[in-house]
Amino acid sequence: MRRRLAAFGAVAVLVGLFVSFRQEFAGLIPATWVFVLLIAVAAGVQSVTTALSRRRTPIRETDTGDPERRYEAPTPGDDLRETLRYARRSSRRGDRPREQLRERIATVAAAAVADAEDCSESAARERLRTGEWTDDPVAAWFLSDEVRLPPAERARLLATAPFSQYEAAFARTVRVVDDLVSHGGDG
Amino acid sequence: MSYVDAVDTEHWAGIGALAFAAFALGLPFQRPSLFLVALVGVGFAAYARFGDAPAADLTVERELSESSPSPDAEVTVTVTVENAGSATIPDLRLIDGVPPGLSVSDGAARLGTALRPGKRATFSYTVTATRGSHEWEPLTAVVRNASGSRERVVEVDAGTTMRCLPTLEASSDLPLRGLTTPYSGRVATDVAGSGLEFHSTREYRRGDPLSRVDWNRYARSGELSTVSFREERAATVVLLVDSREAAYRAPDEDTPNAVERSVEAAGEAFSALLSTGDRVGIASYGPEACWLAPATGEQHRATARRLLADHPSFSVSPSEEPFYPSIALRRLRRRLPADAQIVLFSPATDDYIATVAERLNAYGHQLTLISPDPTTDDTATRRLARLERDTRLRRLRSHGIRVIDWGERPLAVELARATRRWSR
Repeated sequence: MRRRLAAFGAVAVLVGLFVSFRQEFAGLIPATWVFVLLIAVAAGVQSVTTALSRRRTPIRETDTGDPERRYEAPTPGDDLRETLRYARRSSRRGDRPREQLRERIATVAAAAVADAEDCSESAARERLRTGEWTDDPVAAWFLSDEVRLPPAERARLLATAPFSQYEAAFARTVRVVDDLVSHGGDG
Repeated sequence: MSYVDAVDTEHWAGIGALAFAAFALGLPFQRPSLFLVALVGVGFAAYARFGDAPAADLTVERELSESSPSPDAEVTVTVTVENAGSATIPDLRLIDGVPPGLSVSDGAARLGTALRPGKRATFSYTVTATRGSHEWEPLTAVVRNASGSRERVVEVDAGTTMRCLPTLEASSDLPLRGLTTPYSGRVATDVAGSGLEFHSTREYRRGDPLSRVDWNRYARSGELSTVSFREERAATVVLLVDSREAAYRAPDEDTPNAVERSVEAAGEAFSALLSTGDRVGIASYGPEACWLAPATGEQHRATARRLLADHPSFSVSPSEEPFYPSIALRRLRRRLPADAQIVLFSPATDDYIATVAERLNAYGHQLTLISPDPTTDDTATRRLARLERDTRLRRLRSHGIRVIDWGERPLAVELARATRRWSR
């Protein structure tokens, strides 16, 4: 199709050049209003097509980077951002990123509970399971399959973070564990 | 010099729409001005297709105001680029390959210009020197035709290296553990003999020095006895730097990463230990194996200084070589002298290095961990990583490993605090 259009265009240019030199042949080209309008419409369609193809074509240029800055090392925890992003999109139970995040917090929380309560790690795990380790209903719910989140708390969570309740619950649980480590849960 | 084939930048893609639109409007309304606009569009479309990006033949000279500066010195880098080819380069963008371990403190390491054949362009910038051997990467030249519709990338190497040796300033004394050599030194042992700290008294034997006879006791009871002190001996210490990819962590972009801090601390510890008569060695635990056997003396100090500056395992960015942790640990164990204690420098940002520390300690190389803290708590994920590290350090302490959690304060302050804590 493109070849035919190109051939048609080339013939039209040649005819135009020929007529500009031998003007006595100009009468052979139909110059009616309808014919002129047809050509204008064809040009209009072509301009729209070209403009649309421009929108689809990305501009390519070499990325020159930032050589003026030295190597920037990542900060511990940055690797979890991606896991958290996946975890936000999936359901609470039976999914790998969420399990991974929960286990990592649970490990830290169990050690903190064992320290604060002066009990064994397995006893601390049991407290996590039953939710006895904290007064915070969201943190207790986040680290246990058996603890239910009261509807009022669920509504509050929804109100504070309408688009990412999981992330809000994650941040809150980490804060509660941090509190437990720093102040033994009194702070 | 390496070239990449010229590519279309697509900067002028769609310029034909202008010509067609003006033509489509101008034709039915018979407006000559719109026909002129259409001609301009046709002109630009033709201009965009005119000429290719020239295959630039460039030569680069790079000059450093100082090639072996001391740490934190400002070094001016002057780059001169010459068009050695026969074609004019209408659009040339030059980006210098500043080594990843250096940051530009003044000016920009780039220039945009046009160059006729035989002409030169010069630009300069200032970098702040940091410990290490810094090799410049090739200069990147982005060459375009006059309209910018075609682009080619050329890389030109000029082979420049800057070497910055650490000063190896001694910090306060590094508190060592009880594992020692038979040579005299400063580590108080449980062996009775000559020294400073009282150990015990025993019955006088012929040949005991008179200065160690307990004359007060003789005056009281008339019995001759000899005072023994804790014998002070030298230690063999291996400073082990964790240089795995997981150790390259920093709390923000302005703070040196944990490996840089570790190497700096290892340098200080090396100097301090050497000056107190201990035998000191250096090793790394990472993809690039480094080993300097424990020894003493000024020549040993000079070797260590060069090693800390040049060895790839102490680079400011992680090595891309593969790392086999178990093999590296086995090799390290084979090399460690039986009486060597270890000072491990690691941010302890993962469980694996904690296991390595526990194993080395269990093998009898009494281990002290100096852990530069790269964590922060400005987001929930970072706060969790900080909590995980704290838990890890607590676990190591509970396993009998001495841990110095090195925050933002100078290492000497942390060492003094740790010494007070451990001597209680």
